[in-house]
Amino acid sequence: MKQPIYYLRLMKYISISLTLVFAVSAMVSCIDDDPGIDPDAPVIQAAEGSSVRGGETLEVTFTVIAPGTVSEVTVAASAGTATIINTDDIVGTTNAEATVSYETAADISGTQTVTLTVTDQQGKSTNQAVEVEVFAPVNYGMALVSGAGDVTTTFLQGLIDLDLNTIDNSSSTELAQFAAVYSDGNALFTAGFGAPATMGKYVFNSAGEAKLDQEIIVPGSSSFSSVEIIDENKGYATVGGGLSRAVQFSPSEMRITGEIDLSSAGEGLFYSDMIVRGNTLFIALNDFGGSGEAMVAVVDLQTNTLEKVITDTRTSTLFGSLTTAIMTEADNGDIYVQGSGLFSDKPSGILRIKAGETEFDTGYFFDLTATVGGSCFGLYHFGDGLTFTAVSSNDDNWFGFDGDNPAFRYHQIDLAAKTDGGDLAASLPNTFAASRTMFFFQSSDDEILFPIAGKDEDAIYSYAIGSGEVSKKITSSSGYVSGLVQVN
Amino acid sequence: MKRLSLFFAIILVSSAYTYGQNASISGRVSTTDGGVIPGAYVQLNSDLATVADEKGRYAFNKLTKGDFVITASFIGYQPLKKSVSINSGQSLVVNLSLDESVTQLNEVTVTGQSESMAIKEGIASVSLVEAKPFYNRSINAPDLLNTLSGVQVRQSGGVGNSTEISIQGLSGRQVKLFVDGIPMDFLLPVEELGIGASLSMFPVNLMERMEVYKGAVPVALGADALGGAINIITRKDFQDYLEISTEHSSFNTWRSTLSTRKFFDSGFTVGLSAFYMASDNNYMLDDVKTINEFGNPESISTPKFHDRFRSYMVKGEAGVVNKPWADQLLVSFSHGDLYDEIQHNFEMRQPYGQALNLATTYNTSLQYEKYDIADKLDLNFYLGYNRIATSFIDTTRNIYDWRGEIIGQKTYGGEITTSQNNLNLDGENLVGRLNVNYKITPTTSLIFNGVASHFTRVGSDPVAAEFYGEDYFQNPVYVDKLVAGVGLEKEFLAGKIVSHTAVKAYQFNSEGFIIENSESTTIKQDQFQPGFSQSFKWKANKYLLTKASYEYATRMPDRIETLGDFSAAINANPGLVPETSHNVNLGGLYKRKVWSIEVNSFLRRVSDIIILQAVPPPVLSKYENLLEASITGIESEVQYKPWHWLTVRANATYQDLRNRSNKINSGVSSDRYYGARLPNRPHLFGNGELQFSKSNVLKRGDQFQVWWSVAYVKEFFRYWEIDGRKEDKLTVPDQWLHNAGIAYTGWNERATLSLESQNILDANAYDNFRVQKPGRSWHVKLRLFLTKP
Repeated sequence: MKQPIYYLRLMKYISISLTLVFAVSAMVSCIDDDPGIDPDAPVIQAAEGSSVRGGETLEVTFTVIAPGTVSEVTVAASAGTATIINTDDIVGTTNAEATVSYETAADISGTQTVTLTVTDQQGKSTNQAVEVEVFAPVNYGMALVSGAGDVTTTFLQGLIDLDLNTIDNSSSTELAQFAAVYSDGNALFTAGFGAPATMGKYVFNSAGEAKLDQEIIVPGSSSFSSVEIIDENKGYATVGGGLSRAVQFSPSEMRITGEIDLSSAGEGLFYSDMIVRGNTLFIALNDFGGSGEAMVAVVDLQTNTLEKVITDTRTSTLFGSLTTAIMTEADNGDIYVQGSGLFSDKPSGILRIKAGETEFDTGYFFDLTATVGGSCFGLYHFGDGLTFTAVSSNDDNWFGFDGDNPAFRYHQIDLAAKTDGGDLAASLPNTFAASRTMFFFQSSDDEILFPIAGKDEDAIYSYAIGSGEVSKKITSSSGYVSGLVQVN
Repeated sequence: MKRLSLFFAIILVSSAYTYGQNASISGRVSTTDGGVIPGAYVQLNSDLATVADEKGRYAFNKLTKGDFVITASFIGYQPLKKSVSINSGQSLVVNLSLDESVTQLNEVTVTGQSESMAIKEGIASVSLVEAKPFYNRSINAPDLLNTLSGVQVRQSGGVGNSTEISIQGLSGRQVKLFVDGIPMDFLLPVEELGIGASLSMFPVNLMERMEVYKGAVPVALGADALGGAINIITRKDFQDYLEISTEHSSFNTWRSTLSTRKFFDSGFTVGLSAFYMASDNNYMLDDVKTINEFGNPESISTPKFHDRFRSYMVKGEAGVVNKPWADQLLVSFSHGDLYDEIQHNFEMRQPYGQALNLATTYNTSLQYEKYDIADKLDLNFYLGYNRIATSFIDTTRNIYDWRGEIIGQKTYGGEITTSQNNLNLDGENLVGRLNVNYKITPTTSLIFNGVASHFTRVGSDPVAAEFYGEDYFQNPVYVDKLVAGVGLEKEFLAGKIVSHTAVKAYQFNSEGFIIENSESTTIKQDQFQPGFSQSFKWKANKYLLTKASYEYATRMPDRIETLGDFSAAINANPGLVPETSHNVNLGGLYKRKVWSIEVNSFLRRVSDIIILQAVPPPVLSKYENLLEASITGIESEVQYKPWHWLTVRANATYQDLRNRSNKINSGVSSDRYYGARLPNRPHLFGNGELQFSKSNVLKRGDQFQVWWSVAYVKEFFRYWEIDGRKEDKLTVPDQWLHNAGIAYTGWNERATLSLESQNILDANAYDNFRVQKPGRSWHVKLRLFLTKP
């Protein structure tokens, strides 16, 4: 039996507690009742979540409600220039949509604010700020392969321009595997080496960092073996490792939109490179010298079916890699295909598929071994007799097992004349073209860039189209440059 | 008449002799703690001998008066000599108490110590873990190794999955494993299936202990170990016993062992041991990807499939012990079998649904051991013939997703290889080992150890042959190895300082084939490499023991590195040179009654590290000599046992692995990575354990144990630390894994029932990037141990 004093104490505690609760509630209530807010003042509403690329212009819309009639409306931005497009439509009204043109600063990225201020005829003023994420104005995507020993991988970064002397990977995104890079003109795409075949789409955020947006994965395949992106709506990718398939995909939506069965082309083939001409897709087939002939699959893109495989015995082994092209199209529509001759007794050479035709041109063969002096890797054509390849001076080190002695030298060749223009520049160091990197990228009407993965230095070199002068442009301190694409 | 005279003469002489032989010597052979040693060999001078009976009793009767030397010996104990004099008619009782013996590996005699303690306090820098305290627990060999400081075991999944062991920063092939002093790769498919599958064929209940040599590897372990060695000592109970254990745990895992031995009065002994292990390894995987109709990944959680593992082994042994001509002469035969489903690729990105490895082993051996075979000379000899047959089956064209569903078919090739494989390899090993220990003076010993082996392998793969047009595996491969070492051990200052100097020689001859332009060509390799080590031990006082060692260590290129492995698209490279390392160790042990602390520091400078230079198949990859590296580190272990019912143990290891390659040896064009921390290797890790043990809980003589242990590995980078944006580098994250268990032993110490939970907090566990290990698991184990009372 509890004593009465117990209940008295209990009542006391309950009373004190209730008093405290009421007191706190009252204080909170007072805080909520902000006496500074005028219900008749203008109200501004705006949607959040806008984003724009640095240097570009974005329209931001505000909804203005002013019971006291708008007398003045102004806008300000934390960086860049903000202008109200329709001031006349707003002033003098009680309800309007204000459209602000926000022109971002080209050199400033990150989260910026656009603030609209409205004053009514009673002098009551309200402002509303909208956050805009300004992406760094990345124009180029670059891939570096960094690391030593058997621990190497690919690093991605965005560049505003290519006017650089040095490059490193300190602001790069680390990938979990070696990957080649491609572009649809808007984003960066990677095709990773290793099962399953994985293609990544990367966009550059406000800090210019490459961020994974979406992936396409083909289970069961060992890797994507070649990628050809036509535009933002269509691309093709072949997969290696037993699937005998090419997929058609949408780069913008990042989804597979079709498939091409290549199984009738043969087993154990590696799809070295692709090129699209009109409604025909040509796929270089590499059988590692098994047949002793060059093979190209011809695909009808209207039906996505393999039409035929064309062969030629004058060269063999269409050896390519994810990063390097061995097929190129001339301005007149002729397609040139390079054979390495590896693993066979055939010479390295270039075959032609003439414009409008889907067979090898029996009247054309450019014997690279005889003319250039060795087996060749990579084929890039920029018109007017301007074609580049790399010639191996030591086929035993084609795959770079001897890391001390790169064996490839860049040569300029003439496809029409079937002549060797010699070293691209005598001063150029040797490069590990087949085992590390090789590409040619036209950065402007005047300049073509290409990488050197050398014994003593990794760099991007420049070839001046007008003069033919070669000079070192960008030195990498963090590994060799495996890819360079334009993303804007 | 002549015959009759002779008969009487014999009777007379015999009678006289018998009259003089009325004395006797008898007694009991026991351990220092009073236990009897049945079967102990007791010798009187050099002409009489007997074996102690089941109560340890012996007797020599009908002796004439005179001086005698009685020698008692038994495997596992130090021989004991006693000089006695006896008069006619006297019956003398001489009880003989034997100390447990020390190992022959370090040749240090420490009276009154257990063998383990003697090894620990020997000259070698060694950590060891006794298996016996873990007989009641649900623990496997890699987990047991992981409890040691300086040792890191990285596993790619559950039971039987691929495993890499690191000792003070060196790992993989640089660490050699032995079974009772014999290189494990002679006995098990280490090269074909890896350490993980091979270690899984050694259940803890069939081990006596694991010795981990971290500094100079003892001469007695005859192998080219660059970065330390692990010697698994199998169980050798010198008593009649029968032990059965069985364990069932999560993911449908079963482990059962049987071990028994019988000694007969004649000195004949037979033993049988067997184990069976099986697991579905179907633990839950998180965040694995299924692919939708548009090719986009969708994250799911699903049980692991196609990762079943099963192995068994039966070993029979017979021979004699404690004979005048042999301490032991044993013949053994064992047969093992292994079934291992391959579930995914290296970084767990692609699941497989049918690929698997199989292995079958047959081992026969003859082992002879005699202490004091001649004056001051001990001899140990081993001869073994082993057959290891392995199969790699990758024949399906089905494509599986992580749920185990078939989602498509390839047009050619297997799940893993371009060709499809049904590869059968048949390897045969003939190995001999001779170990001789000669005591030049009471303080000086000379040790010789030689291991010679001849390996031959031939195989077939009709499926791959169909793809390549030729069965390359039918080309035979030969490897001959000779590893010899001589060590000189000398004591100074009454044994306070001990020096051990050793020279070693490694000879490697191989013949195989290289594939060039789809044609095979025979290649040969012949290599010789010397080695050297110097160790010191200083017993400063009864509490403090310090050790220092230096070794110029070598690892010869192994069979796959030098001759290639066509099934893995690796070509031969006969131009490889051996990996070498300068290994320095300095450490000390301070031991008081209830606590001890051990601190060891280490330094390694490794050259010509052999690394796989991978290129896309079917172009064949190749091993090359590339990086040089330095390793500095420190490790420490503390043990505290304030009361008999409480044991606390903790250790930690910090190791700093740095690249010391110039650009030429790194495969890069600059010295950017010189001095950089090597990636994908943990640099800080440790573990600890708390154990309570209480006897007489429910009944007199019973025992109740509770334990809790934790293992920690600090986050480390997948790729080079100096590369890329720091905020989102790929890492193997921090790990804290907790285990806890209880065990009750009753029925006169014959039966133990234990319950254990591993990874009890169900933490995400990774040893390798993206490769998930099991979450929380539950284990129940029953162990029965029967021996003569």
